[in-house]
Amino acid sequence: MSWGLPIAVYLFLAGAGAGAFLCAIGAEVYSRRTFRPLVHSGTLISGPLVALGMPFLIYDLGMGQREPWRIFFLFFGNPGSIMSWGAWIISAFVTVALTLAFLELDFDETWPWLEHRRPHHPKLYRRLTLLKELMTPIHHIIEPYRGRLLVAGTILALATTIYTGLLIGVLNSVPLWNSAILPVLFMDSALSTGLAASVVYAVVQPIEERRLLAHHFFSLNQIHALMIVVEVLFIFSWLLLAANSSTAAGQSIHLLMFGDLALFFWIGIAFFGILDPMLIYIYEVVLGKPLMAYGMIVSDGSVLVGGFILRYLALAAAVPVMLF
Amino acid sequence: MSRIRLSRRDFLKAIGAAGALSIGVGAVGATRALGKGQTRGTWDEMPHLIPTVCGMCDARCGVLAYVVRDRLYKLEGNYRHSQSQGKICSRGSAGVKLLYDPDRLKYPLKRVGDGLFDRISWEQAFQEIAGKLAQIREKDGPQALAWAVHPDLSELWDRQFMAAFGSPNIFTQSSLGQASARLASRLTLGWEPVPDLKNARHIVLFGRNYAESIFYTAATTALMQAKEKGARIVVIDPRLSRMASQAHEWIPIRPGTDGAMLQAMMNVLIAEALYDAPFVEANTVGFQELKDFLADKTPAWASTMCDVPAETIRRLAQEMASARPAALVDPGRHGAWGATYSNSFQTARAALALNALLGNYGSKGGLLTPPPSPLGGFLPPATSPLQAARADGAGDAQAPLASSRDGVFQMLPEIILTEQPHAIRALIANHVNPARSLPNTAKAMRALAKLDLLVVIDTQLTDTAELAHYILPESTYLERLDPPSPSGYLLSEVALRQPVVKAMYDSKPAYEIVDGLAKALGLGEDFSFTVEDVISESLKPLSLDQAELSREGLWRDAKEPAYGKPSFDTPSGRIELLSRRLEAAGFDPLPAYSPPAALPRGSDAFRLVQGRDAAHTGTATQNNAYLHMLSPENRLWISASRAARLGIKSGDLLVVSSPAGDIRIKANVTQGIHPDAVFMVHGFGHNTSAQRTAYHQGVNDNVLTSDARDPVAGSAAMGETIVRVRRAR
Amino acid sequence: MARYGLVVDLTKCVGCGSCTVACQAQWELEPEERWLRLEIQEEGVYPSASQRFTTVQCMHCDDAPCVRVCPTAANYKRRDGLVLMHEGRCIGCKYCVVACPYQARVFNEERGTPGKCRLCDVRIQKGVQPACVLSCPAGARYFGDLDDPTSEVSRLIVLKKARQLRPDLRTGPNIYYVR
Repeated sequence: MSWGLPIAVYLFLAGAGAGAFLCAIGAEVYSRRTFRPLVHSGTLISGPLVALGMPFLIYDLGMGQREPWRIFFLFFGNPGSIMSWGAWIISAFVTVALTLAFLELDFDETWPWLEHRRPHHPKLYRRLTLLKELMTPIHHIIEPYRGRLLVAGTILALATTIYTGLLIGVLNSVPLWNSAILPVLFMDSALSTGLAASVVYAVVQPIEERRLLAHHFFSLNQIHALMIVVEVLFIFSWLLLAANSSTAAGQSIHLLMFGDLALFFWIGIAFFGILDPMLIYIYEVVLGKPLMAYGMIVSDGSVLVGGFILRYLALAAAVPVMLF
Repeated sequence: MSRIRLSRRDFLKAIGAAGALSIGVGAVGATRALGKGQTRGTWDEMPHLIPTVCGMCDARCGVLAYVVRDRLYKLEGNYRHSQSQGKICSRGSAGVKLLYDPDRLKYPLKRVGDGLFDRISWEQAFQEIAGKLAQIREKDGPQALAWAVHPDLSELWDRQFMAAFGSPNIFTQSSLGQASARLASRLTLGWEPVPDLKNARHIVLFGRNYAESIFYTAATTALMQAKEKGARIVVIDPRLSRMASQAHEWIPIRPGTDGAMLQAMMNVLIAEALYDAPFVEANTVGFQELKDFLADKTPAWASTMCDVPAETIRRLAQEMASARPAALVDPGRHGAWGATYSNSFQTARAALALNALLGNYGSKGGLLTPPPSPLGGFLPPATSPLQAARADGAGDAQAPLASSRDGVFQMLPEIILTEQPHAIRALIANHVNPARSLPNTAKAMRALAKLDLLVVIDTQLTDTAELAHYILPESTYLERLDPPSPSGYLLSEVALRQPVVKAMYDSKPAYEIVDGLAKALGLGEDFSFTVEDVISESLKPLSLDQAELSREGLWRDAKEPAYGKPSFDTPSGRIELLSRRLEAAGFDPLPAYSPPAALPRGSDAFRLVQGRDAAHTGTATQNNAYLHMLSPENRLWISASRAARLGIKSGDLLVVSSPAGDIRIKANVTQGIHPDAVFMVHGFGHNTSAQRTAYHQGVNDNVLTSDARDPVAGSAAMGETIVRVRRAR
Repeated sequence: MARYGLVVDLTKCVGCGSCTVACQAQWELEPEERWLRLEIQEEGVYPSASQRFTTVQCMHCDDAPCVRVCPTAANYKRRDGLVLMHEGRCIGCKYCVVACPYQARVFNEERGTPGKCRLCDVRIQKGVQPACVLSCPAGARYFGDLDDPTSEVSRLIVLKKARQLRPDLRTGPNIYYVR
């Protein structure tokens, strides 16, 4: 297939970033105080995650590096193209998410990591402090709009998660993709990987943050386990529908489960994406208490691996429609 | 520290302005930039068209070359040429990749070690080769030189050289592919018939493959036009060729047994009184003898031998009879009886006889006399008569009916190795690749390696060239002015091959090379003519000069083929169903059938059938970038039923062995082949790393092939190759 | 305005590949770039086996997926029916390559853009047949205006009951096949 690793990475990062945002919003709406570390980490990482995916996208473009100004056409060329919508959605989302991430930073407090730099790198400290001072008024100006930005961001995040599935879901050239389940599956995967990314980021923070979150890992993981069960159901229906729909789709399924991609499928998705995190979450329920931080990194890191492999296999297992 | 004071409003205004600006720039950019990328295949100036003659196979269809700024852009069929009619096959179009093949021979080379060559000048090449030839003539006589003739329009120079040098041992490739059929035609009719496909109503093709062995494009067009008009096409072939796939009926036949089927069909025509009695009465000799001879050659008899149901044979004969005289058995080229089995000659005779029973000679939709060549002959300077007799005995008591003009090329390795009847020390291979074209490659290469002098004239560094002492780079057909080509599909026509670009690198046309060699040997008097002299002499009867012909590219007289009772150029003036000449030479005067000499016995034994595919001409095209893409390798076709019993699946690597050698090749398990046969396309398996595209692609079939011969015509019978097939471990 | 298309008579096609190479020669393509390809299906069991040949290329669809999905509007359908591309607008995203159900587009890594059959637009504007049509030794290919009921292609479609390839994909292809 023409779309390979770079696009898989882009789809994964876009999904994870949007998903992290949505989890952060969900956590904030539910109880900002209780889940503050999750809200904080989710909001902080969502913009950069999606932004990190964009160089992969541009790398994959045949002309992207040669004549980058053509990317303008992407926005104004064809309003009917889902990729065009995607360009707007992603650009807007990254702007909003990065702005909200900026707002997460507390400019009125001193920043300990900055203070630690003072004795060792005095020049750098002075420059960064100056930058902080310049940004502070901007921070204050934007702050009141946080509510509206959150609403916009939520809509854009939802749009992002749906768009990644819709992009290939509307094509009739690859029966494996031509399914209404795909956008929903990708959305669930986005939420799951977004949550996992936020948790991993939160867990590697200084100890105070981590301990705050640790109380709530238990309920978080229950929610996450539910997401994974739903994802399993979606994957199952997707593959079942595909196997019964056409020869080409059947060939895709065969490739995935028994053919050249079987190793990726069973180890990447079945084990890392589903079995490994589920086992850890169930173990928690049995033990009755949340695991140590490294346990979270293993379970949620596995979710991330599985989420990436899902996007990659969706592209790699594509078999074009049979013409004869 | 100063603080930047921005009001909220100002800030928002700034953001808004920046946004609007970028939208504006984007929109403007979008409307302005519209497709400026360089488009391939388009030109600022019009290409100019030069008519010439294709050289990618022996058909020599007329083509038009599109040339822009002294560079060949592409080739198309010449609309006005009867052989192409504007069409061009894949090989014709790919000519551009031959001209610009980066692996082409560029300058004369001299061998300095095993597979190692140094560049030398033309003078040095001519001097040294001439010197060695003179030495060889001194020591072993002029007959120690053998010459393999250029297959394309330069034959005059080759023959003149040998005549002047004093050696009779000149060879064409006819004995490898067509000699049996050509001899049969000459003895039976006196000429080689051409089928009028377009008007035929029932066309039977024994192995003739108009889909993959395209010769001419106009013939393939005519066949399909006939099909469209309702003609019935039947293909009899051990393999489901692409031609067979397009026919109305594919009749698989045990390879080598076509003669039996032909006899049975004739039996039916006679027994059921379906043959054209008046025609036979008026135009043939020997019918009564033939009738008596065929009395017991029933479909049932034939069926046991050729594995075709008796009812099918009967039905086919009846169907042909009901369509006569516009019913024909195609005379074929190589395929079933050109020069394939030991019985090829008689099988070819049987086909010609069957056509006679249908009374189709000279009829619309039947077999026609080939159009006469309107060209004048060029007489080169006379040379002294030859002292020595041909080493292969062609035309002598040994092989009385074998053509002494063409010789028996596949005998050459045996002669070189045994030095019987005399030593042959030198071979000049003019655009010929005996290391791959001759049967039994191992033997052929031993013989070539034994030569004191091997000179190869070619456009590519072939497997033969790799063994040579001197390699001389020839200009391709796109860079040469050649003597006019008597061409024409059912019509008298002449086409001129002229250069479309200047000769590239340090190459020369082959005749200039031969001319240079001759002059270095002191034979200048016998080579006092140029190609322009030949052209002008040839064109005299047409009252044309070279310049005029060059503008149009071709000349033609008639518009329609000539129908009507033909005259037969035989001793009796008739179709010789019974040939006294054959009898006098000790062969069966009637088209008798004998089974192939060798038969496959055993669960792993098969008969090797060789053949063509549409992308390749022998061994000449495997390095062509476009043609390699169409057909990069050959695989061994094997029937699904027998493959299953041997545990073979498509793609498996097989070991195939014969007494001559063995090869490793991938399997193509198919339903489309007779269980007795395995099939390979000929021409692959180049072992020369200089040919970077062709190197080690596919496998050389002639490693396996047998030295057997058709005893009448002396031609090669490579179909007598029995192989054993197993999976490689 | 015309609606140009092709009729391919598969009862004549001998699977020789001449059209493929003629197209490559016309557009100076790389050997791996095939804008026109031959598909072969083997059917049946010995001795009643047979092969079917089909040539596949851009169908110049009425409702072309490649035009619909192209984010920069580089792909467009011309008024005379040809689906073409503005070379200067293409960003090389390969959405059209992936979207074409006939796999008609070939991505050229060196140029960074996809290529496909152009119905020989530069030839037909000079009144010359497309290269593949002209070259076919079997005379199996026809070019003309599908909107003109008196054109050769229109008559062939009616007379020989020519059909599109996978019309159920609903792209409105403009190449018809006779079987």
